[in-house]
Amino acid sequence: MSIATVNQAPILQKIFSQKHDTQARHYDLPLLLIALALLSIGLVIVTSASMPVATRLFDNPFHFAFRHVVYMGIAVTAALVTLQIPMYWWRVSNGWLLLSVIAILIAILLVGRTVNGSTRWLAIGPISIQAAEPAKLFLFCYLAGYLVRRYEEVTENLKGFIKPLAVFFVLALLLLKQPDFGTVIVMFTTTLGLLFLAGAKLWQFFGLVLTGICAVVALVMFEEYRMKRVTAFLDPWADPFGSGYQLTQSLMAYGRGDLFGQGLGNSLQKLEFLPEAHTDFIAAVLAEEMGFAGIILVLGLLLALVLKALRLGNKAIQNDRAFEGYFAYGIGIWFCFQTMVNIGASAGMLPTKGLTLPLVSYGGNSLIIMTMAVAILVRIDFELRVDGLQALRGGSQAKKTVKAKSTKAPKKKKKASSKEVASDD
Amino acid sequence: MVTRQVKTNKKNSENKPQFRQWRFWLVVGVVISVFTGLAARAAYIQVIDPDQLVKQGDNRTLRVRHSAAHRGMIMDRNGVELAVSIPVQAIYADPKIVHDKEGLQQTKRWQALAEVLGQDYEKLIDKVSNPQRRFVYIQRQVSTAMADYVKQLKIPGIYLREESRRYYPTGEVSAHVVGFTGVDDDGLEGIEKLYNEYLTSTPDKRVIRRDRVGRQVELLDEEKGKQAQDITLTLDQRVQAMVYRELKEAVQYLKATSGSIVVTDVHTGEILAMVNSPSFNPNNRSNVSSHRIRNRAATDAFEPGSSVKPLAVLSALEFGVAELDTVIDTAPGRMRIGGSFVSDPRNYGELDLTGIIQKSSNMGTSKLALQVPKEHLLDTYYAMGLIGDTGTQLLGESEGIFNEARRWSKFELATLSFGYGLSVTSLQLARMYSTLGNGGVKLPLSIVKRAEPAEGERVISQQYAKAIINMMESVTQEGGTATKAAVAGYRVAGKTGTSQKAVPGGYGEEYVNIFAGVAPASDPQIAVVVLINEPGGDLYHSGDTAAPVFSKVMAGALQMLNVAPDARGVSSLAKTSNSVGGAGR
Repeated sequence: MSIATVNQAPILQKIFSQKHDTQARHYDLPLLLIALALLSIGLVIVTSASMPVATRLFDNPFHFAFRHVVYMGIAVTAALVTLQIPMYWWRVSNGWLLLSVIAILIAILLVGRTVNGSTRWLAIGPISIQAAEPAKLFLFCYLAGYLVRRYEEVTENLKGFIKPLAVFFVLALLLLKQPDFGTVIVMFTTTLGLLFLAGAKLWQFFGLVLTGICAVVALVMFEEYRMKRVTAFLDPWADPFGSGYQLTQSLMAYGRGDLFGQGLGNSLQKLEFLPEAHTDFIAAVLAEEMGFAGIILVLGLLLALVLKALRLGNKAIQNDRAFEGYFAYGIGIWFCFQTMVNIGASAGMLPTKGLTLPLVSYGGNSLIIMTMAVAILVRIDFELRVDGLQALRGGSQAKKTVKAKSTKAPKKKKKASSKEVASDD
Repeated sequence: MVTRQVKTNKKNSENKPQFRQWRFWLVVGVVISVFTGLAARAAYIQVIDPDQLVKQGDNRTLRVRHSAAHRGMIMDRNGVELAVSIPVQAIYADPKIVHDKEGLQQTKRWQALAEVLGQDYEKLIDKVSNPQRRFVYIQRQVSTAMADYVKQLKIPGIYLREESRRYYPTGEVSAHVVGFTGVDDDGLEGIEKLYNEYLTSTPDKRVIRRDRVGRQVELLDEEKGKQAQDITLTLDQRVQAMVYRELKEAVQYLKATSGSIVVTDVHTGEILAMVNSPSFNPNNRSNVSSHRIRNRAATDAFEPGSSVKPLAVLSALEFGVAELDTVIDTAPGRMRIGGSFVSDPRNYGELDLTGIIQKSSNMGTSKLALQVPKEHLLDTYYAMGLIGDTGTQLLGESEGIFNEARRWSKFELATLSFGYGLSVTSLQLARMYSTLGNGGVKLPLSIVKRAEPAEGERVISQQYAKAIINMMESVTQEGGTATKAAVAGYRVAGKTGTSQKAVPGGYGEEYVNIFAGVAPASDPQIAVVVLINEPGGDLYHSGDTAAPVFSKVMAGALQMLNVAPDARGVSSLAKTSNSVGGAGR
């Protein structure tokens, strides 16, 4: 007995130090856990919500669930790859990324696949790419880079302020051609938020907001189907079997959810009452099956994610990493806005707009890009932490320390070495 | 290092990106308020005020489903179906859907529909012309084949609904007893109405949630309906069919207005057959006049005439004013009572009791009846079931016509002895003969099979009951009034009854012919009452009209029920049967 106790003591000490030695961790574990939680909830709810429609369309209840798992696999792989890419690479190549996205958008307009009247997909073999998703990420990346390069112009004169808007305008034109109004709105809002945070002049900023609102109103009035969506949103019960159908069904799902929901798998509205139950209206199924508690959980996780992104942006700017800071801001605002539109639309606060719920909704492209965005946040955080360590230990010794640290925590070795590659560049 | 590179990138800019505190916190504020707003909205529509939404959801998903309810069967004593329910379809329209989907444009399909249903095209279109209405029956109780055709026409707004239709396999044979139901499966006549409650089932009720295409998702509540119960009648369909055939033939042959026959089992009081002619087809009642639907055997009362004469003899015997060997002098075949005359067709001279019955002597029964006190005579009529109901509880059953308050004069008592002054139904008469056949124990008649045998009540002594049977046997023998009622191989006891029908101010030219009897006389099993109303041909004596029918019915019933022959000299069956057969013609 006594021998055993003596032998155990150092092991326990080791475990304790591993657990509590925060110095050993070079990445933001809570952020990862939040993302993983959202992905897991997404998988469960997508599986539940897609079963009836999958059974009807493909005679296989797990058709969409299986695909979702495959997309998650791709997304995690993509995220792991993204983790290896130093932020420096993003900073230097953001212009090229933007150009490539514009090229793909043009290609889509020329040879894209048309589904439900929208030309949004570019089919390459069995894979179909929805360029709108990478377009968002790369635009924010470009904007972050631009704001850093032309910081003075942006804050000092109108030209600097207008230039990024021109880029946005080109993208918006291409997207509206598809048409993909939702993506344009996300881009616009995020651009606005970034300009605001970067310190654009207030009169210019509000002028832009006003212009944007006018443009949106004009676009809505111009297209009849958008107008219909807006009127249906204003009073869905006026025509509950026509234009208000989706929204009223979604609201009923919320109503049936109550505090703790009908129980997982017990949604009634997903049984073909609610179209797009696993994509645009995933929140409604979540609300019905898990109740208000489920909605609060998902909202809480997303809010934590967004706040973490914004705080990370702060930290980066304060640490002289303005590009990373703006990029993190952009991702934060983007996630926040998509959450608002998706849940807001299903809860009847906003007109219906086909935007996914970050990390939760079904949809390969969105899932992959959103997971990559989270990976970028982790990478930014990681680089900041390593900076911090270097600052702490003093410039010349930093490299050595990092190496020592990485041997201590073998898991992080790979990242640490990739970081070195980055710094060697 | 990264820091260095960042610096290189902005080496020209003095004004480097910096953290703008108030802007950042404003954005954070906006983000938090966005999420709070979403949460608040969710809380409002989920927890605080979800009732309206839940109600709207329930409107779309909560349904009450009823299972198809079928009516119970009616069967005869051997389990032969007399009334069954078969599934059919009702065609109905939702005019709103018809108009919304512009179904009326498809003229050809509507014409085809009108044609297959045998309806007028214009009228059909008219039925669905009002788009405000949501439900119109196009046609009910259509066969499955026709329903299939209509289904394939695929007219928008035209739907099918399952219902059940009553079918009577035995048709007009048992129509009066069984009755029929209306289009909504409610009993309207006969047993169908009498035991409607019993036969009706209430459908099972299930409260369910359905999905968009109507499949059941969840069973919320289930309520078992009342199971329909089958009814077994006392009728024997074989006897019933045979009896109906004979009656129909006789009514036609005799050009009679109507006829009824009742066959009972004397030991149980069960009605084995009860038929009337004219009858009707319960499966197709269009253009059936109501007089055909009446169950005359139970509803129509007639003056029974001589068929009740045994009662006068019986009451004299019971009271003790006559012995079995009493002889009554009926000469000169005519007597005056009060201001009226009672007479026999001819002077029979001295007759013993058997003779009185055999010859059906009015003089004999009158003299016997006048010897017993009035109360005792009337009591005998009561006791034998000629006054009051018979126990079948059949719809519209008549209790006969008998004026109790009346002060009976001697003449009236005399006429009562040969069957005038009261009216009875065929059922009541059947009960009287059953009681005689059952050795004087009276049983209520029954049409629905009893779980327990009915309790009898002795109303006359067995000795006299037997004696009366023996006397009545002479009626069918040589010298009796109804030799044509004889049945080969069996001893048959019976009595004719030929009464004139009362008309305002007296008696008219129309007759009611009755023959009632039991067989086998040695140990009676079956009582049969044959009533021919208003024979229109040359024959109007019961011995020529009702008696031959009785013979055939009794012969058939005895055979079907496997009753052993009891006649002496059955060895010469062939010869007897020939002679009876000849007499029957």
